[in-house]
Amino acid sequence: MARFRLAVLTVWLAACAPSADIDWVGDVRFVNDDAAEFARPEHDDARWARTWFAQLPAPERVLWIRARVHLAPSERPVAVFVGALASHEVFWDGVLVGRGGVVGDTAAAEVPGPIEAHHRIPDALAAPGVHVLALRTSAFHRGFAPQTGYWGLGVGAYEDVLLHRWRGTWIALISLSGILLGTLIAFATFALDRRDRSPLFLGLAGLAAAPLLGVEAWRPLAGYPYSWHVVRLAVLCALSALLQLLLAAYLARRFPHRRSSRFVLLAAPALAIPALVFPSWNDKLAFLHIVGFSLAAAWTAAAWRRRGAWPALAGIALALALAVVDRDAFLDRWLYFALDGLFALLLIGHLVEWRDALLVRERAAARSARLEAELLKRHLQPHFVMNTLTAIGGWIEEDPPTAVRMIDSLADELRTLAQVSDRPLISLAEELRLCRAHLETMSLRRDVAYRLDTDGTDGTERVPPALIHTLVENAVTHGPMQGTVAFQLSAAHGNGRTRFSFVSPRGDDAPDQTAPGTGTRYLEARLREAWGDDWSLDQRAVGTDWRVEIDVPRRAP
Amino acid sequence: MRIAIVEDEPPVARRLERALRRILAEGIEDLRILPTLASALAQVRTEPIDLVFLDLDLYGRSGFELLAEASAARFQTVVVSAHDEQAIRAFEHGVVDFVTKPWTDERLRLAVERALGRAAAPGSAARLAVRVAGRVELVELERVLAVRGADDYAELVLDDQSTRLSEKTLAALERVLPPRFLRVHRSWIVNLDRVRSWAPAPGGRATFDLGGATVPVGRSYRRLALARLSP
Repeated sequence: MARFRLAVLTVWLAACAPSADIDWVGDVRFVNDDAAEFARPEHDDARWARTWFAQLPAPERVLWIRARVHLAPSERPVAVFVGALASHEVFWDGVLVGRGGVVGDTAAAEVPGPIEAHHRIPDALAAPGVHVLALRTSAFHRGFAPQTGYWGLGVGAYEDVLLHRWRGTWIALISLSGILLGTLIAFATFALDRRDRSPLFLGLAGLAAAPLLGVEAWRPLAGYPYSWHVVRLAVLCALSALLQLLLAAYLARRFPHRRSSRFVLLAAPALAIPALVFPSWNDKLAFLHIVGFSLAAAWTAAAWRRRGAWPALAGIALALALAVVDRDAFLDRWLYFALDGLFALLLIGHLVEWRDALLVRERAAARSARLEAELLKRHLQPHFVMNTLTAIGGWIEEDPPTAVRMIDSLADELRTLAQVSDRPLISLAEELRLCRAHLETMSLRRDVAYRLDTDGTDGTERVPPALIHTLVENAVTHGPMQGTVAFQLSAAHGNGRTRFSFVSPRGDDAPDQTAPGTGTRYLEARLREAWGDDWSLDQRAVGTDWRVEIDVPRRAP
Repeated sequence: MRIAIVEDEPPVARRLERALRRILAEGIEDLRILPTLASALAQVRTEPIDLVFLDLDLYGRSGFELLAEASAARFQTVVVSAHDEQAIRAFEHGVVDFVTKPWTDERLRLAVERALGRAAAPGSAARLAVRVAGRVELVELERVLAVRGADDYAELVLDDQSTRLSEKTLAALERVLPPRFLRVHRSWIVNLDRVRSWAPAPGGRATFDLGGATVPVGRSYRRLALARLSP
């Protein structure tokens, strides 16, 4: 898709290239002096210095420029385009046809003119043939020493000259819609799932790119006195650095690594280097982006195994390639197009991840249905009920009241189980009731006084059904066979998470290591269903105890 | 009769004890309740046990690990379990009966009769557990040519001429072996599928040639043995 867009844009850009309808003045003569007669067509400028318009030096005070232009018969009405960091007066065959600002021989006398201007030539003066174009200029308010202080002097049909100013803007404006849409999608992505903060940084990068583009389009769209040019360049530089920094922050979060924060901290000085090293603004800006995209590419390449890394790397590589290949036009033209492509590819990466998460959730839902069936089956399984009934038979013979207690606790356990088994999350209080009913049943079956102690637990917290119950069941199966057996469930809260610790004494027969049995598989599946990958389960023998640690995000009711 | 109940749930063990006392009454010389099979296996070395009622669902250990250990021992084993889906495998391991929980006195009485040899046992062992160098080995029955009784143990003669010692008596094995294993002599049980030929012997006796072994056929067994032999 990116390649297709590149092709379309290349064709389109070619169509927008500076129009051949304008005759651009190359060869000019100039003098650092000021006299009214310099405007007159018959003035002899043979002794003036000769150069290309774009290579004119900065004026000492007032700089006069003269050139001869040829008008074809069809060009009418005619206009002159002036693009320069200077105030100017335009003389056409000795007649003043327009001015930009007020030219002066001191800074105080000069009023800065617009950075780009066009002036209509009266039809009476626009006869076909050769004409003398003279410019009186001064530039006391540049504020910096540009490589090119004069870059455009052209004559052409009025509409062509007028349209020329807008042409370079279209790309930026079209790109803007893409960037704004991408920004919106990035913020929406973050709003829908706040666990991943990376889209937030992508959205912020989009918010930095939009004014960057606005400042870029400021010149052709609105224009400004040339004295503002240095301000505009500084703002472009600052916004570019901010954009690259946010891109780095985005990638650091998108493909996290333990050095993520160091990466962002190091990116800031790295981005400042081009601004300090290169004398020309164009190079400052272009190399700032080259450095930024290089850092981004390196970071993303290091994460190439992660999902979404390949589209991201492709987008960054495209931007970097454009910056390197066409450095001069990068900020005017390619950056916004590159950002469009980059945003699209980065968001594709997020979409791919979303799709995967959706699949995982769907699978978990299917697994959940199986789990529910399994949970019920494990307890309603004939052998659990049959074993309990056999024990009840024994108590009926020995001590009927105990038999009745046992029937009650069995009924309580089965009833609670039926109530909770179809819910993905239940309150810890319900879960503990289920556990205690089970322990009551097992105490009477085993002649062991089982007890479940809790510490720091919050009864309103939500947990998957039978999470603790499964631990209790295992602990009873592998635990001591006589006396009083106490299990300890403690909960520690912090950072929005809960860490459950379940400690149970081990029986003499209990193995040191257990292969994941159905109990463990059930736990893992329930945890995955409730919290995706955001949980941990650790179980091991600690001395004479068996210790299980479960760390999960805290779910309030 | 010396009986052990291997059961980790005391109310169930006591209930089983009461039921057995009702059924066997004076026939019980000794009855003890043991919480693990390991304790039964340890005890059998010092104080003989004839019959073990074994719960397979003990402390999360595999029921079949227990079955193999129990069926290698000299005592007869009756499994008492709620896991009725394990019955077929239990019989294949050579237990004398399988009683599901909760049981009735009638069903328990049948199990006792079978263990005592007073009622026909299903006899569907597919392999025999024997103890070799302290370890339980399961011998597939199709490899067994014949079984010879020797004092209070039995010797399995295998098709590769090797032998294995079973801690069970010939009479106890007879109760768990499938019908194609036939008693042909006071001290011999033969695998009829492996008999190649027979030859008459003096005094109304006979001999069976099993390829790797020659087995005597007792006078009182000869008629039935030859009848079962003919196709």
